[in-house]
Amino acid sequence: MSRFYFADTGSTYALPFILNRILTILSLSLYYPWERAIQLKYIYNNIILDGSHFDFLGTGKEMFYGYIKLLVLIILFYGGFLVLMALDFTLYAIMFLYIFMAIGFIFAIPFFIHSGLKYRWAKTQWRGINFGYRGELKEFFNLYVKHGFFTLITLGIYYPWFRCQIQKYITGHIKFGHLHFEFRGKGEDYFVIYIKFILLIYITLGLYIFRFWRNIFNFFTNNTIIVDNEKGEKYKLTSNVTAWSFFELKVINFLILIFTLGLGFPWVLARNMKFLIDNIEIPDNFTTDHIRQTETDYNNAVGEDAIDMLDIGFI
Amino acid sequence: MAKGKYFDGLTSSEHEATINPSLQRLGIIISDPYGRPKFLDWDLEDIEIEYNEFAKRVKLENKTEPRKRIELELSEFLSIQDQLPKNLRLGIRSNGLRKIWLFGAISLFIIGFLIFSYFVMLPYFAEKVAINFPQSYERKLGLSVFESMESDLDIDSTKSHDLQLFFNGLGYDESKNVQVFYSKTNDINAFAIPGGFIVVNEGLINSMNNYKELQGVLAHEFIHIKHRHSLRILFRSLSSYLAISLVFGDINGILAILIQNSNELRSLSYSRTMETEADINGAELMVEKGFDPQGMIELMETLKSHTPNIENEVFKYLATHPDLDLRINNLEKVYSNQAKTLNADSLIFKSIFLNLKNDR
Repeated sequence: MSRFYFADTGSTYALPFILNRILTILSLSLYYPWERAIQLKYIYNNIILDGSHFDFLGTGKEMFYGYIKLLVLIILFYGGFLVLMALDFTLYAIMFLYIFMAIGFIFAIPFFIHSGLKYRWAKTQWRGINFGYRGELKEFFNLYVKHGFFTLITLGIYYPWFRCQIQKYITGHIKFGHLHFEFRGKGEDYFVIYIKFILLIYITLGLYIFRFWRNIFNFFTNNTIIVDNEKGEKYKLTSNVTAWSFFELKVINFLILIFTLGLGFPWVLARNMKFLIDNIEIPDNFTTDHIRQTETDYNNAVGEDAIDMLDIGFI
Repeated sequence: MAKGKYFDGLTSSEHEATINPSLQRLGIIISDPYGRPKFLDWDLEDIEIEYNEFAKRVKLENKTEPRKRIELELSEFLSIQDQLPKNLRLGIRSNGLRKIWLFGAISLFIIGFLIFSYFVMLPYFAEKVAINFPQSYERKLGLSVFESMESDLDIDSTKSHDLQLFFNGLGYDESKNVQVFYSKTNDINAFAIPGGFIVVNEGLINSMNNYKELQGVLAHEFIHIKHRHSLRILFRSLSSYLAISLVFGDINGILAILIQNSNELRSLSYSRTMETEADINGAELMVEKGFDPQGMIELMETLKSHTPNIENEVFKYLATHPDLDLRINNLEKVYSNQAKTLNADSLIFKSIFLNLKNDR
């Protein structure tokens, strides 16, 4: 049996999913943080490493405050736009849209990413050992704005380097007990993936998308390293996903969603997680028995902004 | 005695543990790295219990730092839970079945409620909104739709003027807000735009046999406007989109739909009930104003003679306009025996009609 896998097919989440979805709808989505907490618990508890499951310790209540802030922002955004449209100030409405979005991209997104990471990792546990994210908002913000600016003035050509810088910073500040992580991906390699995509997507009538997704998945996984400073060892993660398996995943997920009118979401979620987790291979010489607790005091410091906008992306 | 796994909160090493509850204490036996047994003793007051439904494990956590924990399979835990104080027990064994029933009943109720709101309450509120929608906004909406279509319609202003005279003479519209247009389009068609615009195509007028049919078609379209059929359809489809995107949590979709739909107003089709309503109420309006409702029936006959005969039952069922024969039947049932007091102005209508029809 594999050391690292996702244990469920989706069926245990089916009932909680329906009930929580209904509650979210009836509460005009105010219940959503609680739903999210249960979903994350479901995901984490089914990720198994060396026979032990992960834990998500966050609660809906903690996430609620951050969620309200986000909701206010969204209401302001749509409300402002719609009011201006209704008053026939179409030009102002469009300007409002652009300005709001520009400000959002520059300021709000790095902030949300930062607080999301901090919260999520502080609430992640395995065998009682806490994870943690030790990035600093100011550093991350500067990095994001600087490289974001380059991306903007190069009309997006710089994006692969931007993405790699961000990933490097984030991954480099994730702690798992005394272990930490490292990201080694190079912007130029990521750039090549994009160039190939642009060249081949039309020739292959779009079918190249699956190979593109595979390349991205492998790029991020194969460039992620676990570092154990006490032993002086580094362990490289690997993945060998094929384009065909991506095709199978996406097509079947699509069919499930269509034919169940969305009620098959738990199975789609489980299939996605299984794909993600089962395809990440951990080297055999990496042992998990002696990871030392280092992040305990860290855990309590969080809670300022429990925003959880992050997607399911685990690493 | 029950078997579980012990984690000391300092490292990730996993120890096999045997736990043994007694009064006030929890005795734990683990084996140390050299395989020798080690005895631990937890005060029950320090322990918190949590059942993890997805991992199907019971977690007993000792709150004193560093937080230590024992994880047990559910069945293992249930075998010792009677020996623990009440606050460290799970309600599962006794309540399990009742919980499932309650859960089922609540979900059923909620699903039923949702279905009810989707099919009954939502259309009701949509209808209310459509009816109470401010007239000025409706006018504005209609005007923008009309303006966007105007270039395709090829409006003849002189004939539109005549048509307006014809319409005003009918006296259907007491508020005198409705504008009527003559379009030089060959489709055998006429339509109403919310806010008070009626467009009649040249193709339709030329295929008519007499002025009564024109009275009929104007009555029909006027009812669509008066009863705000377009708005009602719009709000109905909007509200169901809204409900669906709420279910899938897609807030972005809503805005897109709002924008998209204001354009789609022109391609909206009325429901069968609305068409029937426009027929019947239109004919009633004609009678009320002293015109021969036979015009409405003759209009249907004209339309019928210009419609390719569709024999296929499936098509008949799918068509939005109720089958013309059916519409004629409906009308005849109500009005064939009605005595008519004819409006005296029929000569004027006749001459305007002939003018519209023949003057090329």
